[in-house]
Amino acid sequence: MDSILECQALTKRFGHFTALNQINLRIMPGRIIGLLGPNGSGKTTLIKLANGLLTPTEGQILVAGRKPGPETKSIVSYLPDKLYFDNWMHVNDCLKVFSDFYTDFDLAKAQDMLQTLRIDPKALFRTLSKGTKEKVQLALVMSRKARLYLLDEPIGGVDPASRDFILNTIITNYSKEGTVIISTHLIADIERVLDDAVFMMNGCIDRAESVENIRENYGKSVDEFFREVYKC
Amino acid sequence: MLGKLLKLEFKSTARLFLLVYAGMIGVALLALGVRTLAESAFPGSLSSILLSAISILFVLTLGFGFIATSIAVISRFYKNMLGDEGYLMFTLPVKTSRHIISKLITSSLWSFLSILVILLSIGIALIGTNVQATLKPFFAEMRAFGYNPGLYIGGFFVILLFSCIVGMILWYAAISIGPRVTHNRLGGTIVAYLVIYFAYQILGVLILFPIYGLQMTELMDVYDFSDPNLQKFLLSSFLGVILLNVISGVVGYFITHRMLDKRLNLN
Amino acid sequence: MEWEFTNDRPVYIQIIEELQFRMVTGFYTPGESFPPVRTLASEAQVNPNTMQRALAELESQGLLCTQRTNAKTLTEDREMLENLKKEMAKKRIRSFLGEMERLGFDRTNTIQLISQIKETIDKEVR
Repeated sequence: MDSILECQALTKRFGHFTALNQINLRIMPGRIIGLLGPNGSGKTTLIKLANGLLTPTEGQILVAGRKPGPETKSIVSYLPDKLYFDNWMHVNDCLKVFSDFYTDFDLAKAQDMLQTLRIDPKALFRTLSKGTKEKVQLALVMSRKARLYLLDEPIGGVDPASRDFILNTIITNYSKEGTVIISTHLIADIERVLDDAVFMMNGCIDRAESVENIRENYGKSVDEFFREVYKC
Repeated sequence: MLGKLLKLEFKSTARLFLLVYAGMIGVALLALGVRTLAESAFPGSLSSILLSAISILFVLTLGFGFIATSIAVISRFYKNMLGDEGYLMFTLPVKTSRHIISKLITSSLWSFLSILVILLSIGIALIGTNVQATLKPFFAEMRAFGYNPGLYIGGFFVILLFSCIVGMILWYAAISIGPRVTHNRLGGTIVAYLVIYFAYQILGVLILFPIYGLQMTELMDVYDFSDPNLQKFLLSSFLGVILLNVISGVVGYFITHRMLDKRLNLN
Repeated sequence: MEWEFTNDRPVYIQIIEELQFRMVTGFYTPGESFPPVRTLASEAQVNPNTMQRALAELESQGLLCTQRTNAKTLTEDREMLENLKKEMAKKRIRSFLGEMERLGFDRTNTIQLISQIKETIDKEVR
């Protein structure tokens, strides 16, 4: 089986700062993976490289065997940790953008989700609160039937009810053809949803293991394990 | 894909540009209003002073209107491609070339429209005056010597539009290079633009000097329509400017494409 | 229905135990369709693969049966369920006795205590 995401000696430098250092990673499809680590460990950089928003300094990153480009972008659904819609758009316009450009977008599903979240599709984006805007983006991203979902800090700064909604969406959305990579520093909240945990530290991958293995071998939750191993 | 991009681009930019145009026409109407008021209320010398003042203000406003359009075009590219919206744009399954072209097409159209709006505003402001009286003899002279005024005015506007488009591409190129070179994104863009503009000027001299340099000496008076060399001169400078812009445009496009496609580093 | 998990053991094992508990206490009806993986995973807020692993284990134990329609049902083998219930009870008792021993009560004392408490409760109920 081919990997859905692969990094080969991937390095990214910004001037003198090395954000990613010789990363080697192979992710197989059908898993929910947590990219775990403190802020600044390189998680977001890795995700942006997978999306083609950054270009590698050395090495390469492949999505379904190809370099990031229009083909990979059509199978990758990305939720950044920032708001990326023009404030003067209506929610309906955002829906239109997704349905126009992504063939795997399920409009009905998105509209359904927005209704559950009680978001008016006619609303102007700038009138919505930050949390609501983030939910719109989440609904759009999760309504695509993508092969790879890249979620960058989806639950940071979100109220518990919304967090449950997000995790629930991830769980119910799950399919063997879809892989979900969630990057976060809030491990305790999401570890039950994860198959595997990839620990990042200072631009390197420290270890990659299945969540159940960690519990079985160390008798600890991933969160506890992480805190212990990466004590300051 | 390009069609959808164009649609998106137009929808997103319409608000901004229509606002600028409304402003320009508004000022034109204001100028018209003030002028007619001044003419009827203060006949004589006072009126002509006021008239001059209004005219200057008006011209300035049009100038600002055009600058506003340019700034709108440039900042739109900057914000949409390299700002937070870039996260949406560059994750769409669309080739980089399509992005650049869609922005160029829409910006060109808006610039073209802004030129029309300027003409319209001038037309509005000059309602009731006798501009035709000044221009008629000029055009008559042109026709007398076998020049077609329409052709030359048309040619003038073609060059104007071309320069607008190329001007935008050069700004796009600067925006795509600037932030990569320095940490200060705005500063980097401006410096990059100055360098690019300087190169553009050098290229311009290289292309046009042979034309101006050699032929200028043969002309006594540029507006002497009886001079047979004038037509040749005008034609070759027209072609020269077109050539300059085509080369600059193509180079600018390649720089922009290369930077955004292979060297993208968002935020 | 809140699912609670502790941090020290694999989640799939805890799921198995919880599902077994529900099975023997009649929460699920024998022979009737068992909820699908996705629904259970969503309810428990766990990874569907983890839930699937637990269900696969339960199936290999014979507690879940896959019908021709690919739906899963709880076994109708009442004896198996009863045995399981007994095993679960025994396990809890052993664990309890171990705890009481740590408290300082040996098994005989513990049983005496149990009798005392039983009588007290019986009186309260009357």
